[in-house]
Amino acid sequence: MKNMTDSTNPPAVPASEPVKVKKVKGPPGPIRTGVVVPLLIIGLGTFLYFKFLFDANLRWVMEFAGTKINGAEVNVRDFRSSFLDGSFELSGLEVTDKENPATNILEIKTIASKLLWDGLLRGKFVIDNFAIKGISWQSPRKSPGKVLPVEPEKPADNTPSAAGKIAGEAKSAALEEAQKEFKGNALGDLAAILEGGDTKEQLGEIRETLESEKYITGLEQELTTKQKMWEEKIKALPTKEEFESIAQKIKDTKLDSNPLAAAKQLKEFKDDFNKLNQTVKLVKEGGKEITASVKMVESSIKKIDDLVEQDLKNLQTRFKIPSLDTKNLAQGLFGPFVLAKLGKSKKYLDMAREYLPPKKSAAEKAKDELAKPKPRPRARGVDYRFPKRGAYPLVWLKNIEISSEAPKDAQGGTQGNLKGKGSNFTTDPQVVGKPMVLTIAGNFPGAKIYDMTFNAALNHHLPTANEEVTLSVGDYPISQFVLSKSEKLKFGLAQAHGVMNVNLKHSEEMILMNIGNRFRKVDYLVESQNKKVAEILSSLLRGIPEITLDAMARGTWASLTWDFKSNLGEELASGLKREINERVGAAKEKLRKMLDDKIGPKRKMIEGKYAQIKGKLDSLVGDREKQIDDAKNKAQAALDDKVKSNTGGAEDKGKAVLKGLKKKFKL
Amino acid sequence: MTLILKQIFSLFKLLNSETGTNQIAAGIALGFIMGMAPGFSLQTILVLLIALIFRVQFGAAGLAAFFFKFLAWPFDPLFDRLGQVILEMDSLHPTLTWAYNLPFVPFTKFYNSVVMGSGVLSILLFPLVFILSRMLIQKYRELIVAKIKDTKIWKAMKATSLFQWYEKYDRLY
Repeated sequence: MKNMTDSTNPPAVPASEPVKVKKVKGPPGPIRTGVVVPLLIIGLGTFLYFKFLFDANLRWVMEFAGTKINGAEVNVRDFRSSFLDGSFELSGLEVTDKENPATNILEIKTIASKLLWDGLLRGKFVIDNFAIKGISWQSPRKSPGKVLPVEPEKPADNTPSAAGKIAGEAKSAALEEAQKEFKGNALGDLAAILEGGDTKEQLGEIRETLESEKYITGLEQELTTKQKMWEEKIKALPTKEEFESIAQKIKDTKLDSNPLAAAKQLKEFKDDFNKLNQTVKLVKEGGKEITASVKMVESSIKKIDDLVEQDLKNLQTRFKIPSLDTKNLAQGLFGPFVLAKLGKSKKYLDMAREYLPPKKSAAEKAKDELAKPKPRPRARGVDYRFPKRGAYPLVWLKNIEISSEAPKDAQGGTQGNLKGKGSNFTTDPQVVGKPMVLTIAGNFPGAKIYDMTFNAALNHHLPTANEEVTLSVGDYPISQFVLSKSEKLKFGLAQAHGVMNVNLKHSEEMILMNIGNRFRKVDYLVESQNKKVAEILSSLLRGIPEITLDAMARGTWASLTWDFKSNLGEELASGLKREINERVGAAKEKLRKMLDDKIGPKRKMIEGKYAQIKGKLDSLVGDREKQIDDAKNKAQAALDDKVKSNTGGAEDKGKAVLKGLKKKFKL
Repeated sequence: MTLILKQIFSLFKLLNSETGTNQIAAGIALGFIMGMAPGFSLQTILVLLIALIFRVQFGAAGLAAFFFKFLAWPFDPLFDRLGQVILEMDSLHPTLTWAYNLPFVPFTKFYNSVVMGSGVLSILLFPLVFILSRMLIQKYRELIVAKIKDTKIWKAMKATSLFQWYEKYDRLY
């Protein structure tokens, strides 16, 4: 029995051996612990990647993409980003000039930016500070950059880009029209007159049909048509026979002896007379109407004078008879230069309005709403908008810093020592509620441009958006600045130093621009085949050591009114007046005579025709009125007689009856 | 794809076993929330994270989301109406405005009537779907699984070496 083991009990374990207790797994807990570790590993891996590799990878991507876009090597020396700060700093950006790989087309020392996390969590890009420092152009590279082989050109896409479209629109019809008006040969016509010769001979013949001529022809036709109409109207008026028949009827009819029947007859006469009176009124009104219509034609004839003056002005332009008006001269000299600059400024203003949009009007908003696709009520529901408090716009550059340095040995005009600041550039100015401001100041020593300041304030946050831009340059060089160029004369500034102030205000499509320019140390450029012209101009210009130019433009882009004022225009006009006034006067006189010869006979003819028609009509209307008045008077007299005779008879009869009664009663 | 298939196989295995009733029911209830939501939004990610972190049957959640997505669209007008009522409630206006101005929260698109309606309704119905799913799973096991296991075909199949080999493989891996 001792050796027998109890099959129900476990075998005895020696006391020295440890007891192995098999752990029994309990039911798993509610958290999936197996997932937490992989998640932690993924998170750690992501952190390590962003900490050690992300910056280097992004730098490589920027270099690769930049090189592809530029077509030549782009280098980024260093790129550092911080996820926690939401900031990045890029340094040593060099963009190789593919035309000249030994230089950089653009070099930027640092670009630093800091985004606000608060904005990022709302899906907005709010940049607290954006700084671009050390911008330089055409700087030498340490080693020549790699240039990518040129790919064969793809067929051009006819669709213009947004910027291209704006640039195209900037060349608006109004500006082009003004360019034509401010032709670049303001002194060319003057030179032609200065050269001498018989100015009268320079005038050709008036071959075209003039405006005044066309007008007279039209007026003549109109007058003929109207004459017929007027005559028909007069014919339609009642004749004197109609009136006389009524008078005769009253005269010839004997009144009845019966007082009641006589009274009835008299009433009928009075009714006829009243009808006659109405007709007389109609005749007189018709006469007045015709007279007024005739007078209107008279004012149309007077308009011929204005058209003749306009034709004269047009012919002066066509026959190149110069004007010595100082305003026109200044406009002709400086207009093309100013307009070329204005076209560019319009382009940038339009761009600012497109990308930094001002507040939309209610009508514009309604239009946008209509353009939006309607939400499907079932699947998409309705998006509710709650008031935004302290909300951010999609992109907001709170502060911008710009600086660039020109190398000491800089040559040319693109490298400058500039410092600039900007604030509140945003895609939604109404949300920010502040103006977008940009200020840049500095010099371009290579181009000898000094004391330049540029200020721009875009008030797109206001209900009425407006922009104000000012640019001033303390000193800038001018060379070979041609103001007037024609076959006869080339005139301009060979060398000068300029001072410039430009102020542009733009609000609700209205523009007000003031340009102030002063040119000092002027060395004039006068080139003419004719010595006399060159001498006259040179002697005049010796007395003008400084030039001032003030231009003002106001109106809309579609219709700008220009006002130019320059001492050069004034001085040239007064100087040249002495020389050419007589010749210009003679040419103008001849032109007037030519015009009078062409228009005069036709004008006389129309005036004569009008006088004839008017006389005839006046006489017809007057006669008809007189006849009618006579007939009316006759009828009136006949009626008066009848009334009187009827009243007298009744009275006598009454008296006789009364006398008989007195006798009868012995009174 | 393998992961999804594995989860679906796992669902069927769990369904036919005697455990994991709550995991499957929770998965179906979470899938119900995901399926009711129109499109993919922040709350979908949150529900997915919950399903990932908590011991919820992922395959059940995925299948339920797929199923309820199809079932939800006829109810969109109802969600839309309910969402509009909630979003237009004056008493909720200050809270909704506050939430609208919070960072991150607007990514949930709570300001959309369908999102709000479906979200509120699915959260309210979550416990009900959970309880119903639990009951249905238990009934399925009692009425269908038990009967199938009692059939001769099943017993014959269980006796095959292939099935035994599969059971061994399943136990080991």
